[in-house]
Amino acid sequence: MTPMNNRLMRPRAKAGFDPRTISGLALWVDVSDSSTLTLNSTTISQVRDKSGNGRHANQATALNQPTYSTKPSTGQGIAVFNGTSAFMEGTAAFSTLPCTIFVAAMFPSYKEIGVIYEQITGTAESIVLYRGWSSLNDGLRMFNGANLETTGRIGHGQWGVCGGRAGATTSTSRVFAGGVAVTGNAGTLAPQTGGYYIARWAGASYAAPYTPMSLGEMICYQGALSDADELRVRAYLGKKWGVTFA
Amino acid sequence: MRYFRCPAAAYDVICMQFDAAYGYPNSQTQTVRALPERSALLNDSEGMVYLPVPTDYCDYIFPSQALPSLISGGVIEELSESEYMAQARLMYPNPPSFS
Repeated sequence: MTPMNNRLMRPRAKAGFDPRTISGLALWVDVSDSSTLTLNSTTISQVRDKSGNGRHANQATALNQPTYSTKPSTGQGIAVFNGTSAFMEGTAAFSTLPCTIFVAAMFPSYKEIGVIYEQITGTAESIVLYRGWSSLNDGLRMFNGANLETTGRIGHGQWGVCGGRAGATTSTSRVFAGGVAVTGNAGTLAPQTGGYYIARWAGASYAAPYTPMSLGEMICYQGALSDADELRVRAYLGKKWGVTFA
Repeated sequence: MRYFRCPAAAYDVICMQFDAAYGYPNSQTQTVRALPERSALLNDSEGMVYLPVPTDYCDYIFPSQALPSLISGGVIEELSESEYMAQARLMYPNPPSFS
């Protein structure tokens, strides 16, 4: 039945998709929503979590702050991580398997092991969504004790929607990029709960731990979304960030 | 990017100078400090700290004024990217792996 406006008794206007309507929303970073940003001149020190869970993405060191910019074709606000010093961190979004991450981003160049999101405790890591791996430089992997990798590709220099679901079974593990979803190869490592990083690999001593990327939006759910709900989120991000396949 | 190296004690002084210049910590911008803590950077066995800095940051007013005198005074040394990466790979010789 069509919802009615109680006062005017006419159908309510159709609203856009709201990620909060799917249960399990754990973290929602939306750089295009300027009301959620704290700027330090031209850089970003905080993107507040729109999920309501208070897991804000923070960076209190000026030199490590991503630059605030706008997506050229639409003017939407984005966070530009330079790949050499910029990253953000916050309170871990996930505590158990399975868990699901959606990202709207642009990667300007290839990067061997470009972590998009990871959860760590000290240097122990689990739930790592990362781009690139030797010959798979434009692919995507999710790690939670085992690696599941895409067959779809993320072209560099163009906006894309990608992400994955870390689960303990092959049916609940999935990664998607370039409009292609791959299921299987599950790990059993539970999420590390010390905190999360965006655009930084902190779980290993590495000469180049930062990821060059422009981030528009990141949406995380605790749990495995139904196929229909997963497609809704991908479609929402695709439409919003101008990615046709979604 | 530009790359710099300096003794740990000098780095701590430079951090204080940058924080004072920018008024950090600044609760309004939720920014605590200008430069990363030493523990977050490459540190070699001789007590040297290695700092990569985005070029546009070096062009900001205070860094653009401070850097020339810090370099000419011998407080910090500027490295090429290949020198910096060589040092980084010396300290982290093994390629990382998740598996």
